[in-house]
Amino acid sequence: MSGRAIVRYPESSRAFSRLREKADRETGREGMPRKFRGRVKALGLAMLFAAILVPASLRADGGVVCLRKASGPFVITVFTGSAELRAGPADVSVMVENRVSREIVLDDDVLLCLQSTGPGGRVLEFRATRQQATNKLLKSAIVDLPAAGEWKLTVLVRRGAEKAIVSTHLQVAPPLPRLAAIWPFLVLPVLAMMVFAANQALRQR
Amino acid sequence: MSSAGQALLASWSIPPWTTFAILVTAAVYARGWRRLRRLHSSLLPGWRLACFLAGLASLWLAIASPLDAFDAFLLTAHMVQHLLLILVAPPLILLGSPAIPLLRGLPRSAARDALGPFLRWPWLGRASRALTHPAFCWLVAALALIGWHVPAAYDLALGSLGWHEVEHACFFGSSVLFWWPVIQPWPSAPQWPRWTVPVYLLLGGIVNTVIGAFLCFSGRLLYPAYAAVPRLFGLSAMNDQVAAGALMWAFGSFVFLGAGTLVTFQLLSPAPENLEPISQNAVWTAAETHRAGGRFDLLKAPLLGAFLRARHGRRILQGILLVLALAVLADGFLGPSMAPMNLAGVLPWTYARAFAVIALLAAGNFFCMACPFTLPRELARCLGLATRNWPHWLRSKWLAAALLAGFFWAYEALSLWNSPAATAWIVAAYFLGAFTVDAFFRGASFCKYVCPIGQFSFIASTVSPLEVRVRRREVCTRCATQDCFRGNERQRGCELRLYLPQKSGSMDCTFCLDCVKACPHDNIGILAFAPVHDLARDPKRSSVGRFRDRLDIAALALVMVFGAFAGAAAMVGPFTAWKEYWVERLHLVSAFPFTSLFFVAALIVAPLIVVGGSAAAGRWATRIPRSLRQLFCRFAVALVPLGLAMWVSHLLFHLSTGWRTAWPVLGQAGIDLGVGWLGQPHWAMSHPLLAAGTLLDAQLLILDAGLILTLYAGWRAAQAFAPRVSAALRLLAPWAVAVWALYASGVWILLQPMQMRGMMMR
Repeated sequence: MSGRAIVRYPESSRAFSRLREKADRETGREGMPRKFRGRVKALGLAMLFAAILVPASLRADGGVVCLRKASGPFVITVFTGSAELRAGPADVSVMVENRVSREIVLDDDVLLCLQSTGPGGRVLEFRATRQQATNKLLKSAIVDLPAAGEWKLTVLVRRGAEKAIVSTHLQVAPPLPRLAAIWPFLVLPVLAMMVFAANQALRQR
Repeated sequence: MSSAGQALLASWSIPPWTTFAILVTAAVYARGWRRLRRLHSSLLPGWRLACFLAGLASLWLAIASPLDAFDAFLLTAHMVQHLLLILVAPPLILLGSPAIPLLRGLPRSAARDALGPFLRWPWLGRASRALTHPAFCWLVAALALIGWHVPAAYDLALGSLGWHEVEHACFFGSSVLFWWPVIQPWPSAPQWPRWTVPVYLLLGGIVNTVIGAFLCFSGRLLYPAYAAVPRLFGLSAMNDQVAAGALMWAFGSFVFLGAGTLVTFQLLSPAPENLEPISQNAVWTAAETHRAGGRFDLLKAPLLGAFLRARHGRRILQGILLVLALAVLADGFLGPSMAPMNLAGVLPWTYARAFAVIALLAAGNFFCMACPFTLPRELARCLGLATRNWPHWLRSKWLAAALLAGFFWAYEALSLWNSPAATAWIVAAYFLGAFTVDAFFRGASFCKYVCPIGQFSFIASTVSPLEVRVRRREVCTRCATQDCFRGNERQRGCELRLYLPQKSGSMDCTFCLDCVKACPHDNIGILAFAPVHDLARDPKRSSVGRFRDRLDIAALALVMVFGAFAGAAAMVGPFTAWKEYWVERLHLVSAFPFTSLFFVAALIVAPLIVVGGSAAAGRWATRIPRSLRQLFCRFAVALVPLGLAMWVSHLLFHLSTGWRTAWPVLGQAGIDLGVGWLGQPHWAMSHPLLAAGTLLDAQLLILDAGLILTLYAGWRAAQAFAPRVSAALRLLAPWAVAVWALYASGVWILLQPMQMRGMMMR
């Protein structure tokens, strides 16, 4: 099997071939097995695509349980998007189970109330719905935590005449700088410039 | 099925960027596979395509299906997800022998110029040799598998989205390496004898078996996080762990032993699969011959190509836009004065602008192709008055650049976006202007010298990947009639005086396709080129000349680029606050003088200082014998990709926020105009097309692309002036700093709260 074909891209011009041969002579690659050249280039390309595909984009449910409590006829579990909440938008999800049968309750209304524990605490209300949840056994809401500090989260669950209320306290850290959220986009052009510089340097060889 | 079961099956979480990347990879592979397949039907049989696509599909299933939503609740679901990433997706992808098809599926320039130098890099060769060594592959896969099943690491991944992604990336990446020596995708060659593969697989299976057995028989809950969450389907955390371990053990053993058995049969078989008889050099030579013109040609695309080539194809597009323009006129003059409830307040500003710039960035100048304002030209010609040539002293872009700058200023200073009547007047003026100019002057003088929208599209289309171009130059050298330019009895030639054999880029091209229809040799297509290829070099273009000699085109480019930043900045919160502060401080009656001054500074003063100053600094640093004017012109035009990216990012925001406004506005317009069948409008708070986070990501990515393309165009321009690398870098540096500053200002603007225009706020 010949791997040379990968090196010799069909559109390569004569000058391109000369450059490659010159580079081969200078780096002593002439003696390298041709099949090996093909393999390493194929691997390089495959890894490049794998790198594009995977790391930046895989998503997972990183929710953590911040409260699990029985109340009234229900067992209520509250999840937050991450263990450390910060001021700004945060994902809060609720799973409601029947206290006796432990079946998941899906036809209930869930209201989230957030109250700042500081003086003159504000009260914010959010309705958690299945539409907003990725996992359709949960009800989710994107709650906007306006400031850092301690907040009291109260979850009200209602199904017909059945009601339940649970509450917990959340410690909310100050928001990260905006740049912290968008830094990959700012780094991208720098990386592109570095790759381009490497490309140009390799072409000069 | 129970409602819980239905909810489970509905829990898909489709990641947009990964899905897009997988689709692009699949498309590139399929394109390359099809090209290779045409050469030799047995070179890459259909099952390899099926394997590759199935591998991508299983990868997508692992991260988008309900498995992902339930992996925090059920270890079994998490295990299935991991098995897909470890034992299903990697071998299937490698069975597709992806290297050559992917390489062949890429555009030629990307494969040869961008990837070529890296693929020939000796260091990469050495690293790849080490990476694909079977011992290394086995060790990495084993370490990843064992390491991530350590309870502390597993809990870390469950509690953090970022670490969860790292975990999945580790599993997938290490598994690609593990399966590499087993499958040995074409055209790689083994480093160890083939008989070692069954042993290698057996050893891999042992690691898998040990972990699976440990999960089954440890007798204690290894991952406490699963005890803290509600238990689904009555499955206790311990039973869930046992089930996951058994699954890993059984399925893993099946795959490892099955693969080992297959390889053993292959070794014992007298006729192993062999791709060697086909010389790869012959493959490439044949591929070159088989490229049949090479570039993608939109006119040869099924359906769309035929539609565009059809005699009345363009007329149909123009007719549709004419109907919309007439509706805008009618509703603008007669409809409600509230812009978000009026077609004139929504269609041109929210939709038409956004679609036009997106088309320019992604394809080409299709707005001019469908432009309804040129239809009056046909009417004017019937009068027989168009006997004069456009005056020599007006044959430049100065008038159009001034009109474009005036339009940007008027849009903000006179709040055109908020005045349906003013919008309708502009549309009417456009029809009247096009009719008047083309009634008295020959050719497409209005398009070439007057129309500000056309000039915007012309300069922006220098970034576009599609271009009206001759397919084979040798055909043109034999052509004696030059119908594409002069026309013939059936079809007129190019009215913008572009001689196709010497045409380069899309400057001044309205995509009218008159040349296509006039060419008797069917030698003109809409061909694909690398984006900004037209800015990366500066040949003498037909009817345009060289960019470095055209100060008027440079001025047009600067108005377009700085207009993008000024227009977006004028509608963000800090600017509004700043404006109000100065209006109050200076006791002004209105913000009109302030806005006017801002646009003068942004569209005239800033470009002169930024581009003129950086070009002068670069010239001083390199001391090259080139005029400042040439440097200024070339570097001004090189900014266009960044400007277009800013336009797209900005208008994408309005398109996304006002996405659902069109239908109720159409209903309202129908009622206003006495057309009842569109139904009653349902005014409601508009849902955005893209979620806020996704929109910002898309905007920043587009701006990044604009910056990268601008820097590339600038680098090529600097190289043209100063061939030595060090001199080119010195010439480029001041300009590059200015470009980065412009990009930073664009990022800042996108991060600010922006006025939502063209949508109901009820």
